[in-house]
Amino acid sequence: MTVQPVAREARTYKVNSLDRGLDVLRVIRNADGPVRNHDIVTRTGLPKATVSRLVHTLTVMGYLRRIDQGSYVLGQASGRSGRAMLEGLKLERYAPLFGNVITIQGAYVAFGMLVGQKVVPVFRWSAAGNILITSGVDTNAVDDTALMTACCLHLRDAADSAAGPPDPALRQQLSQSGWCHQWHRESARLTAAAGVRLSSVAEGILSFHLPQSASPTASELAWLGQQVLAAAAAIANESPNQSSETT
Amino acid sequence: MNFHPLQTVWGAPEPLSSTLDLTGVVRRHHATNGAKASRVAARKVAAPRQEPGGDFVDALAHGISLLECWQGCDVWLSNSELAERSGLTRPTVSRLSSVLENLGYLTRESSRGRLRLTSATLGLGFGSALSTCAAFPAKAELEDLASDLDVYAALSIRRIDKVQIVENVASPLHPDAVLNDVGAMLPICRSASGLAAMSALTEQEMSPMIPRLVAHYGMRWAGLERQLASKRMEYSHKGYCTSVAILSQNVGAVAIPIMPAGTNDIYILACGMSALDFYPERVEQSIAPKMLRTARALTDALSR
Repeated sequence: MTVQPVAREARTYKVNSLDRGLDVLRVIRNADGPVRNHDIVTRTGLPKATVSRLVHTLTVMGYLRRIDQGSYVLGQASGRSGRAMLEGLKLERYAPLFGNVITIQGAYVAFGMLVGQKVVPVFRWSAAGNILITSGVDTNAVDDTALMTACCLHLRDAADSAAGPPDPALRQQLSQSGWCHQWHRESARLTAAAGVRLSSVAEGILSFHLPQSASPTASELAWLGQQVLAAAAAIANESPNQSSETT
Repeated sequence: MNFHPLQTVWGAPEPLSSTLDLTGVVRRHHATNGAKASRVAARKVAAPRQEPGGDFVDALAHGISLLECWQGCDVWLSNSELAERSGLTRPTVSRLSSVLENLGYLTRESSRGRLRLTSATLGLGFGSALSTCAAFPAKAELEDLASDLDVYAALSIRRIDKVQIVENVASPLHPDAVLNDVGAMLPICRSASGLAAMSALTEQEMSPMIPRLVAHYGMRWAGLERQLASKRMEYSHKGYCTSVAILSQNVGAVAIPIMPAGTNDIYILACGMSALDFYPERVEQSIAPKMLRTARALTDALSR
């Protein structure tokens, strides 16, 4: 008698407490301030006793910290795995790609990653050095929200987001050339950005920030666009084990 | 030769000692030699319940401990490496890694089945001021300030146009004083810490903020601008900023910006006290010198 090999089905496991515990952590991360058990119950829909046990476990593990009056904030351990993921990407090795830009006085290049519908700034290359942005705020790029939203939607081929629809002018730039730019007259800065997809690991936005007191000329924009697209393509294609692509 | 009953059964020596690490996992130390000794010592042993019948959820702890296996420049890890590092059994690692893959925290290499972290892990805490390492070295320094100077001591971080408290300690002599909680956001132009943060910015760094602040404060901006100019002057001369009744009536404060090397962040060390206890001699002779020493220590501790 011959035995036919049985094809093993891919099993989908589910561990409710892990799924729920990570949900609780995400709720507190998104709040970015003190959250009470009651707020977590409201936002997750989980029973109060379950939330209490999950919060206790996360607190023991250092992922949450109980502060006065029974509220919780993120603990010191909560950034560990994100940081380990970023260190694995070795973003500092891309510095040579930006040599033409960061030698300009006051210019820098930043990389933000998409987490849900938010762009979290994670890395910055400049003449002063390469910085992992652990506090989640690139303070010099806060006026670029419209640019980031447009790139994010273009990268995901989506028409709308929680932050609203993209600026039509930016959307047109992205659909025509794959990158977009914005000049801020008040702060005398020019920002250009493009999406980068590191397949199944991360989606991000590469942005170039240059001091620019006058409105940029067509030739300046052409040069900048070339720099942005070349760097984005090089990052996406650089690592074969990431099987990457640019948008 | 006397054997412990369990040694007879399992043939393994008893651990010399066991310690509970920060992840709630028991790390057991064995007396073996050479390479095996270091591997065994590095291996974690999956945690039993912290308190039998208590509220500790093992499955959540084990899942998170898998995410913590990636360290340094690790990129791809196999299930056996994860089992080795986490102390969990292979079947448990296999099941939990599948769950984490389905949830989007891990991705699997198609050819060899190894795993790596995805950007979803950023959503668990990375990028929050409260998950940075600032609070840990600061706590002892703040306690020292609060008890020696009888003040409320706090460490904050600049968050665009606000500052966020990452650690605070009340004076042991006034434990019931009203404090801002850790995580609270203070307006950058209307708090001692905020003004200190702005004092540390160059004109070039501050210029993008001005249009936003003008739009936010409207008619009140002219007064705030004068106040800001005076605080920048004070900081350039003395190395600290003083304020009375800016955010709260009857409160005086001294604040010092801290800019650690290798980062773009600005932290602010601040001490608050009743306005009745806030007078120039006290600030100049006892509070400011001690705070400046603490600020230097924190700058070293937070620099990368």
